[in-house]
Amino acid sequence: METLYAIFRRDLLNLGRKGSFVFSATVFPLALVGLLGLLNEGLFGMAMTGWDVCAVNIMVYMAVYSSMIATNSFMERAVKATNLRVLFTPVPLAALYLGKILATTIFCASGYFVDLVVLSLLGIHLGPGLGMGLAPLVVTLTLASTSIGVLLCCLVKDEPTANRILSLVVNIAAALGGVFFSMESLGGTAAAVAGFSPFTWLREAVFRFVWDGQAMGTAVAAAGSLLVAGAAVLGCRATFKSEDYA
Amino acid sequence: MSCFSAFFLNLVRRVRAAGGEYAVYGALLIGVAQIALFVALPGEGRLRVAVEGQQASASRLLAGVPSVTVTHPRSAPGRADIALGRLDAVVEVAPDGSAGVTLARSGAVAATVTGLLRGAGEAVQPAPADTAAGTAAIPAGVPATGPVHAAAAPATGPVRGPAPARGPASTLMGIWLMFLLTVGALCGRFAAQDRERRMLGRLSATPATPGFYLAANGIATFLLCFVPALLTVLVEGALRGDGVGLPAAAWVLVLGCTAALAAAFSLLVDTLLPDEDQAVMVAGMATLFTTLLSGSFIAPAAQGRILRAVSTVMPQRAIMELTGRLESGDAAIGAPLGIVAAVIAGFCLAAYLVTVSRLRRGKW
Repeated sequence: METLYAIFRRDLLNLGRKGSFVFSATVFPLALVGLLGLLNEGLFGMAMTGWDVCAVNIMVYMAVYSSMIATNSFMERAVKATNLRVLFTPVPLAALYLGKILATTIFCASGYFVDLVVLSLLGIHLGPGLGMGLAPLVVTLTLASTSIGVLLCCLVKDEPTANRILSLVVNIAAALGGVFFSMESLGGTAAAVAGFSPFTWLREAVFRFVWDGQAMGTAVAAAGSLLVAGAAVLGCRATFKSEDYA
Repeated sequence: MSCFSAFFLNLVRRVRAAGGEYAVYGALLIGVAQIALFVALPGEGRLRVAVEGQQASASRLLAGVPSVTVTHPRSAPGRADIALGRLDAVVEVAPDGSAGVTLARSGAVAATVTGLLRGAGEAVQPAPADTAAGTAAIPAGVPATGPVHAAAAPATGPVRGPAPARGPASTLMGIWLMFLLTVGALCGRFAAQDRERRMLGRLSATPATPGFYLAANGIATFLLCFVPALLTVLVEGALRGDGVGLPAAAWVLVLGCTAALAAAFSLLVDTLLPDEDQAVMVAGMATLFTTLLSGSFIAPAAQGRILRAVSTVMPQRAIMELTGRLESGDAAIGAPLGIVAAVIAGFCLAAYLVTVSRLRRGKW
């Protein structure tokens, strides 16, 4: 446990030192909300504003996007070299990937919490407690996402490849799930396609919580995310080989 | 020229060595195209209104309106249904038979539905032909949130119909464009890889010029993006029998512009940024941002004045215009082609200048 904590602390420090990661977890979501909010401003205005809708969409997107930061922190060339040294010390193998998963989750979720508070203070409706009602879902979703990112690294054994595949898959699922534009408003066929994207399920759960006060959807989504994270960690355990780092 | 062919053959070998990865990109491109075309099937172009309460009377009022689809939800619809785009308005019918809009996406939608309920409302206007969605003007003085009783809100602008007004080619490119550019940026990171592997120092000691090196990288990236995309639309067009909205030559032009833009952008990002990871991350973010801004997903008509002005110079916007004009048979394609060509030339020139500058400073 002490070893895991030491690796986790070091990983967290490394993440905080890299400007592009800090940008991705804090400024990038706000910039995306700003851009999409401006684009959608005229489409809403009574039941809710375009900004409210975009803020939810982007925060869900960013929680899933964390997988790309996880792949970077797990197998980036500079990190790989130091990890290789750790592997030759009496440290359990699991500490390596668990440390990365936990550090990336805490790092990203902290950034998203700041974003939720900033957006709430700007007048965007994100639920009770300055958007902190969404905190459990954000944490569990980020945990699931980072676990999948690390698992993909274990499977393809190459960070740039894992990153590129994840980038495409996440963006495709997000577009089909209505993050960038409403697929469901395009008619029955598009709505049927959108129903297959996890982003649709997540957005519905969050909208029902934020706007209709129904917490059941977010609770189910959080529980599902925990299950996915657990399965991904088991997958890491089965596929992570120390020789992949050589 | 022999330097160019040597570079190019080396890139072909590298692509073959990582064949599985490129196969994944190709499969994802084909998958997105299939979904985009599936979505592009004729839509209904209607406002979706949920009616609660004495449903029969409201249904009678709205049944004859061709621009409205009436639904009768089992449970009370919430604001989440509006946010998700499933409903545009909710109408509640009181026991005395009077009907009112209790929830609406925007003031214009509420006013339109109220007018329809009174039997004197204006008809819903379709979205502009070059857009996936039109716009809804918000009447002044309408509160941003809270339940709406729409009687006081006059309709001041066209109301967006929910169905796609684009043809199949424009709908395909609207959804496909971002992924084509992303795939181009992901495939074309050869220069960044070479720099990380410290290959460029060695290359600088050969008679090869930066121009040949960049040209080989650019053409390899272009082909990796262009060939699978073109094959997809040609096969799909043959299967559907309509060419997916455009003849083959027009698709060559549209996809050629897109692939060339992706290759030029990839060259620029690869030469500017210090390593492959940052190149991939920055390329992904920039592609997402600029594509959203260009109106590929969200119609330019829905943008404000400043955003519309910015998006006018976006190459993605020019590609969408080019596609739309070719699809509608408009021969005036010089302006969008010019914008795309200028941007591609600018990216290539910048990549070349950065590389030459590095070479002079001994930092290949």
